[in-house]
Amino acid sequence: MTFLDRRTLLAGSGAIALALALSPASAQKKYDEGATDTEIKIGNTNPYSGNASAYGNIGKTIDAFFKKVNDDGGINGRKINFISYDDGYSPPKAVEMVRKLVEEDKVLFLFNTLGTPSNTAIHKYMNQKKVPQLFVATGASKWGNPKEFHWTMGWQPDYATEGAIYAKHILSNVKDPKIGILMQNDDYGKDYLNGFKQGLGKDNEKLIVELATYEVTDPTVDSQMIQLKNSGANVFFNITTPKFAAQAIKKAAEIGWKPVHYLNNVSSSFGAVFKPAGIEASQGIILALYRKDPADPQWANSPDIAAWKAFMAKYMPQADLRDDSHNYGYSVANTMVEVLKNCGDNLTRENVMKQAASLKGYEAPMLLPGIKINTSSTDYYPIQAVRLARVNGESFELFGEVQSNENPSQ
Amino acid sequence: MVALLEVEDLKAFYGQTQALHGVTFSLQPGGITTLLGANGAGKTTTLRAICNMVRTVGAIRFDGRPIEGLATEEIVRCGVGHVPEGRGTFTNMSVDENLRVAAYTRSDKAGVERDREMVYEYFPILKARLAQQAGTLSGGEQQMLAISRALMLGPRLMLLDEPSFGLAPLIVQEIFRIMRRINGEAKVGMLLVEQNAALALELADHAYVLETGRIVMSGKASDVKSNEAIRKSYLGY
Amino acid sequence: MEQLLQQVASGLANGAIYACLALALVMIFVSTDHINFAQGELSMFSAYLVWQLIQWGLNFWLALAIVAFVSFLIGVMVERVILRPLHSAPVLSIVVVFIGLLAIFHSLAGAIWGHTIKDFPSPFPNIAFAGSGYIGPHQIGMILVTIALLVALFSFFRFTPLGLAMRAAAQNPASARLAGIRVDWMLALGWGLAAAIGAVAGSLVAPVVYLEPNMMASILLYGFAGALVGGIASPGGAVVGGFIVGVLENLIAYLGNLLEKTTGVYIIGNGEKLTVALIIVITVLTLKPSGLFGHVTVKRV
Ligand SMILES: Nc1ncnc2c1ncn2[C@@H]1O[C@H](COP(=O)(O)OP(=O)(O)OP(=O)(O)O)[C@@H](O)[C@H]1O
Ligand SMILES: [Mg+2]
Repeated sequence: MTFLDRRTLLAGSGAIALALALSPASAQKKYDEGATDTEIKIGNTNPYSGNASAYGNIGKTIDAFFKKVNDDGGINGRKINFISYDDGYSPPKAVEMVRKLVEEDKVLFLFNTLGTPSNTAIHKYMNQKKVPQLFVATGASKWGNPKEFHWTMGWQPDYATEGAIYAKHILSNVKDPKIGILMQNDDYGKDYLNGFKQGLGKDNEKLIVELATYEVTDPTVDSQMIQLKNSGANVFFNITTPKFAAQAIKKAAEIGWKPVHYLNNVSSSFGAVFKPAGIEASQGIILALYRKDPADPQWANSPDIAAWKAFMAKYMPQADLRDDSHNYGYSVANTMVEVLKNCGDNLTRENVMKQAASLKGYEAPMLLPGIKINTSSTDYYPIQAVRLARVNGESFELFGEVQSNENPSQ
Repeated sequence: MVALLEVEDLKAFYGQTQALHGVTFSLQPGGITTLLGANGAGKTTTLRAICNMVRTVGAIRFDGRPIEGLATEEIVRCGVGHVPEGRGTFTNMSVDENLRVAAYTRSDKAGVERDREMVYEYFPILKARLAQQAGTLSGGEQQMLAISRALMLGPRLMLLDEPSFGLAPLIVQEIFRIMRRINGEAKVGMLLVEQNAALALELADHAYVLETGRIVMSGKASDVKSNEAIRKSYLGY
Repeated sequence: MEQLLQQVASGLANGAIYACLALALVMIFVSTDHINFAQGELSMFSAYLVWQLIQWGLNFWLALAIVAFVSFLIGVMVERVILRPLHSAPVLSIVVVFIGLLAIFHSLAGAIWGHTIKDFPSPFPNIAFAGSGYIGPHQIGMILVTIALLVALFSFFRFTPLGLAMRAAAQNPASARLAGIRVDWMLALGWGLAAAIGAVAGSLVAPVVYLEPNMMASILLYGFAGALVGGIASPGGAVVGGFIVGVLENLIAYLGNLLEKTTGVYIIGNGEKLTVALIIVITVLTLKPSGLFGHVTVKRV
């Protein structure tokens, strides 16, 4: 406790010294730890090693984007100092790194720390410390709870929202639906299922004729797929991570099961899912998207895609452009910069949080047309709209209107 | 004539404890030599030392060629058939497999075939037990198998560690009779360790007596047998 | 009924996966008396090597033959270089070494080939036949290769002098030495053969579960269960054990689901497959410690 007090005191005296040294015009400049006239210190953890290291490309893209921002003059004259540590997708490691970021590096806030397990592990700590944990890289629905966790906010559409949107689409488009669900038996799977059930509504829950779960330790989901096929389901909601998604798609084709197939956005990858599963077997699968696929020719002329390509060519020339992490990282980093611009010279943690919760109709680069970011002090879900798409050949074919689940009553 | 086996100032150690304190002896080709002594005298250790199965210091020559320091399996390959204490059969394998493993180092098919026949002649019971698991054989049968295994190597010297151990007198006599035949017909030298001194002296032509890791007496088997003083003081009968 | 048959067929297919890996486990156990916890990762690594050769344009079987040989050498090297100095070390240190090997091959594969799943071609023709709704051509091929491997191994250990010598060296090293067997080399040979079998197992499993550094983690557990049920010292037992575990886990889930459907009572289902499989292993081991098909061995240590 004494340690904490002394540090607050030091920070306070620093602010006084600064105020004395600077001209009167800077009177409205306000800083917390991690921000100065010349610098904004941002912390992050990413899995740069280990099983989930493919996601590490998100951290690398964000880092590259902040370099570009700095090269272009920074934000309101301040350079971003982005400190990103490897957590190997391991929660204990993440906790260790985050403590280092907060207590030793003294960052202003954390941005886009990656993974549900890691973010869960630091959730309480960040809120106790009152250090923002912004735009976390996970789709769990628990990040939008400002009443209990004022300092934490998600970014992408959450699993529950997405699940609800599939449910509504099934109700209005499939005649006499009998739904079979394959679900990973953990919080992620249950998040999707709960949203899906909410979307169906109590009365329609009986439309779910079979719920087959699998454990991440299962070698295959073959037996679950046989179970689902035999249930007589004509709709398949596939809540699986890439490897199991590929297995499920392949097995469905092998056993000749042809339901209307909804696949969660978690597995919306050609490289990691549809190609290994077989492009043929993947045709017609429906999933929700919220960002543009740069490979889709219809976006060839849109300015954000062009800007992204130019950025990638200059700052990440070696990268594989088909890796969605670069697309995601670019979009979320742009959102962060927008918030910091809005902060002006008031770089306190409270104000960063306030600005993050005051986005109105912000169209972040890469978002599909019609999808806007809206937040408020009670709405901590920045993106809550998606568009449905079908796998068509080797790309996604968007169809229908923007589906929104804005301002949920949760 | 070169001695078949010469052991000079042999010391052996189990960890820090020394079990042999400079043992010297030699074996003439074709003969049977017995190594006598009480429990814990170091008889088994001497046989192990010859095959480099314990830590040893000293000189060992087989057929005039130094073999100390060679790995056990290489010494065996020189023609030393060791029938160890406890018999050392592969209990999970059939009798047939035990005999085949024993001939593993040999490439002369015809010779192996001949030795098979020889073994069957010595121990007809084994032929009847070929498919049986070695672990399920009777004690006498197991000892026969152990001796047969050493024979299948085509050895020039056999080290036999208490072949009489735990067997009924009738079986022991039978086995010793066969050993004499093997010695005569297959021209195999033998170093026989025994606690049953009377029996061993009957078979052997030369004897050494070990006491706490040292040779305390040696001589022709017939001399030892007939010398009552020696028998009383060293062999206890 | 229809579904029951399908579940049994799918269980047999999974069982072939477990059986194949169980064979490699048994191989090392029979020749060295150790349980190799790194076997799964070794197989996974070999499967990546096969994948790489196929990418470079080789045909599957040629690639597999080359990699099986290379894996054999890797196995021999692991034994000679890493395990040999530990011959008289306590079991625990050897287990630690196995876990270390596991971590090394795992991160090596991740570093070289990444963690995204890779499609792995099946070497078997994709033809339709009577009953192909129940079981795919790859699964049938896998079962056949597993059985062929088993027959080959069985004959090797039964009838060849080298196979006999390897068994002898594992059962009783001191006696094996007294038969002139170079025991150290037999251990290395056992490792080599296990690694080669592992390469076959990995390459047959990969088309089903997809190639990624984690692919063998859970399969090792099931393979281990299969080997234990059948008898870890018996290749035939391990294969039968693998099939038993594969079929059993599907039947358990199937019956559990059926029960829930008809009575509304949930007792077991997909989530408890592994648990129940492990309970069966423990039960078998309690009633018959050497496994269903193992010989009772009284060991003098
Ligand atoms: N493995 C061992 N570790 C430690 N000491 C040993 C070991 N084996 C034998 N010894 C000791 O070495 C000495 C000689 O033992 P050895 O077995 O050679 O006796 P032996 O003459 O064969 O006796 P016996 O007639 O009972 O077989 C004994 O004091 C024994 O306790
Ligand atoms: Mg003894």
